[in-house]
Amino acid sequence: MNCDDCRKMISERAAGELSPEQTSEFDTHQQICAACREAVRDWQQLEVSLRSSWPSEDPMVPFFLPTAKVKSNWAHTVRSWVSAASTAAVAASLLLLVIFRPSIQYDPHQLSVNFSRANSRPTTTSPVEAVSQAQVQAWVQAAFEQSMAREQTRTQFASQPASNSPSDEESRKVAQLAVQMEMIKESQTALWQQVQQHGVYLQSAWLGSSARTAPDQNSGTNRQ
Amino acid sequence: MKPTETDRQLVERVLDGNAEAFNLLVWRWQRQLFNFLLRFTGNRELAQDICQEAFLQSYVRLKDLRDKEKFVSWLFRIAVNLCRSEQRRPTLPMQDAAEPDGIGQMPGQIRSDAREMQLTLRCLIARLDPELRKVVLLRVFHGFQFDEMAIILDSPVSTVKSRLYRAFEEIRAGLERQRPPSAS
Repeated sequence: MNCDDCRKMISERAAGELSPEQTSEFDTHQQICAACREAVRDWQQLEVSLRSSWPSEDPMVPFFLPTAKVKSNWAHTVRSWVSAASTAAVAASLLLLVIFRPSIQYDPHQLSVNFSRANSRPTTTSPVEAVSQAQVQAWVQAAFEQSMAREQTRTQFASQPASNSPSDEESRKVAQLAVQMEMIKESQTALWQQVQQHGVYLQSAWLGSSARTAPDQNSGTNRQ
Repeated sequence: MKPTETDRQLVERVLDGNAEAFNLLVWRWQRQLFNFLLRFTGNRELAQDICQEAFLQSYVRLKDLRDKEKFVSWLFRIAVNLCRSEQRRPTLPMQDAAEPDGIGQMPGQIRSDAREMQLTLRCLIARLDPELRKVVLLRVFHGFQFDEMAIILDSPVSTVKSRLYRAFEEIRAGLERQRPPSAS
């Protein structure tokens, strides 16, 4: 090791950063070279002087990040409150519906919601009871009469004597067509009657007992 | 708060989403970085700005840090690069405040006062080439090892050593010039 190598290692030697071999070489050279010993003393003295010449100061404005924890907590709190409030609102609405059971009436002109407990509760009868037994008996009787009339008509046509003349043939075709027409009319009437009965049933289910007189009148009117 | 946590542990906590851990890193290194920048620039406001910008950039780019043990070297490297960017600006305020008025313009005058010696040394540091000045500041004032300085300055270790030696020679020569004739 020469003097240049030694002086370039002064700082590392002072900080203990040299390897054991380098340290040994450095110390050996120091023992034989007075100029390098003087250089080491100068270096160390200069380091101390430099260090003491400029003491450290505190930063003027400390730098700190806004902690994400606070932000996330705030956002999380807001989200949880909104979620809890919406859940509570839905639950309260369902509870009110269960307690008050509002009756909803829809007419072609207006929609009305009644929260009155007395009106909202079903009255004495259930919707199934809106069609009375007498009405059912009347409907069965009417259907039976229609069936009987249809059977009579068929019997009349069947009892007529067959003839081979063209006029008889035409008159039989006309009679068959009349029977078919009669059957179509009867099926239409029965279908219409069923539609009316379902309508009355639904109406009675919504409106209660006030509309329960309608099926008889309507069905009778239509049948006529 | 765990005062014994290493930089690596704190960096890992920050990467896990704990910003408060980064504040601990700031609290640990803010004073060192600010004083390095103050000594390098000689301007408190500029040093403060660069310090804050360095911490902000380090926080944003923390995921790019490969060796988490070397956080402080990486932080100083960011600060040094910001200083280089500042040096490229036309109105550079560096080195003005580091050199007290009149100190450097009175060679040979007797200065027995310790305060004047301090100012002389500051003045000599401020007059060094920026690359030499960085090496002196990092080594003498902040105690970085040569391999850490090589990371900060993005230079080989041998270059850093030779720069430090050259810087000390210049300072010593400056002190010789400042020494009164009777003492020489």
